[in-house]
Amino acid sequence: MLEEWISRYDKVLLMRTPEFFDRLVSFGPGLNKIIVLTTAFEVPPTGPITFQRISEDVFWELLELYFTYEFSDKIRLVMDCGINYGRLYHMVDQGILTLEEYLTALLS
Amino acid sequence: MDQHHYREMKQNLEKLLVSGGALGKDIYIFGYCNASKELADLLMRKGYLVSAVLDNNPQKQGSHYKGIPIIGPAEILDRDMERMLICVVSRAYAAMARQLYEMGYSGSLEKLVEYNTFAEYSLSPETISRKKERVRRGVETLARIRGKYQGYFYLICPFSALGDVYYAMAYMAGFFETRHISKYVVLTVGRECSEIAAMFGCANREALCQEDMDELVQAVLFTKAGGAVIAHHDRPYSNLLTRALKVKRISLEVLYRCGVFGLEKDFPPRQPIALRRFSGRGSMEKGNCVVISPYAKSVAGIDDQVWKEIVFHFRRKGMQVYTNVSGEEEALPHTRLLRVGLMEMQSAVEWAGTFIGVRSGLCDVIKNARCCKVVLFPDCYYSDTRWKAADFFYLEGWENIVVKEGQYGIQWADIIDAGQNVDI
Repeated sequence: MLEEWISRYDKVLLMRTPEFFDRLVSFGPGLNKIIVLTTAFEVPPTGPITFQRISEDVFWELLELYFTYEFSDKIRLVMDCGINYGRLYHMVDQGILTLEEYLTALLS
Repeated sequence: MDQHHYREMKQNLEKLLVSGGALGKDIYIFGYCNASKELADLLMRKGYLVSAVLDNNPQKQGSHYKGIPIIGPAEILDRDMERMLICVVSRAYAAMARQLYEMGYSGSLEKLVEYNTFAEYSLSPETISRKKERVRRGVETLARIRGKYQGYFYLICPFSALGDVYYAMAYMAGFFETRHISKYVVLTVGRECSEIAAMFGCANREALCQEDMDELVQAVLFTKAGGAVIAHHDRPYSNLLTRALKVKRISLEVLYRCGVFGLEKDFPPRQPIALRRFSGRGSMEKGNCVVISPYAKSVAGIDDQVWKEIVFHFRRKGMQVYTNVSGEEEALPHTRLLRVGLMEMQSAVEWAGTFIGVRSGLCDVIKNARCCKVVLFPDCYYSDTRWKAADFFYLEGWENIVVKEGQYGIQWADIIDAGQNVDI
């Protein structure tokens, strides 16, 4: 499935929680084809952005592979996994970017 | 491009040429960056023509480098691809290769520098197995360091660049304060970067080679190791910080302060505390010298003619002119060699009175020097963004000068006079 997601979509977002779902839906995908892979129980209906619920096991398998090497530059990990490194979202916290700008940057 | 990667590029190019891989081919380079310019220079010195440089950035397309046109990748599709050889010396090799093949490119493709051992856009079992082995080696390196520094926090500076380490050091204290961290060790690539950490008073330091560092960073990711911070603006790859440049002009320093360390916009940087007095004071006339620094890794070089004019200007004024060098770098013609350790560098330029250099990490190291400071930028874009190098690497309190290609006859007297209102 992973290869298919990567080949079919311009961006593959890995998100555990639904906190940005509404903003993503209202934000729209622009010219990009986007899929959100999530373990969240409720996902919005597929519209311009495809939302796909995946199991916890699949999510952690994907994450393990993503942390083994960069197999694609289409993957966007949108969660805090307890590792300290620079985060795009810090720029929102510190008032450098708005949430809109954050999503634009994330999906660019 | 640093010396290590430059040597690697030269060796790989030599192998390619000896094997006949470029024979009868139209040579292209993908990515208009500092490294690509160096490759183009190398090829031209060897008598090869470069047909074009490919770049996705529309703002770069249409310009030229020493007569070589910069074009969009799609423009090659109606050319004879079987005759084409595309060379890549950019960090984005994997993405470029994928783009070319997805476009239908069927010619030759050569990666001449291996920057990113972490990136390979393939999910083949063989690739996964190789990358798992790489993680295993990283876990071993991590365990070795953990054995030596038990109970310490690890501040990891994953790339060999002085300026990057400088900003990591300048803002780590704020990060540590918020987390009540007092025992830490700084991991860098190479001894020069380790020296930057020493300038900030870091007693515990470990210098690794780039390969070991890349593997260690991967191990930190894979094991989700706590007690560590990877302090860089575009590493690891899961760090999407430089994406911010897609929507806004942000300086390198702000990326470190706010993006890497999550500190507030106005959080003050820490200053180096372990600087040394310049040991060559006896041989340099105080206040009547200029230190020129013409070498850089992360931005393209400045045309030799510009440096000649600068040297001529200062010599005509009766000043002693020095070229700051390290490693195998050579002094500019008609200048004296200056080989000074990083800890003495601020004192050396303050003693000289004037510093003029291409934008490099060295400029960060001496950014607070009390003297006339002029930084030169090539007129090029930073990475794949729409911002010029001068937008991203701008230095407060300096004369920031953009030098366009072929722009000679700059009025250095005006610039230096403007910058010399400094209490030396």
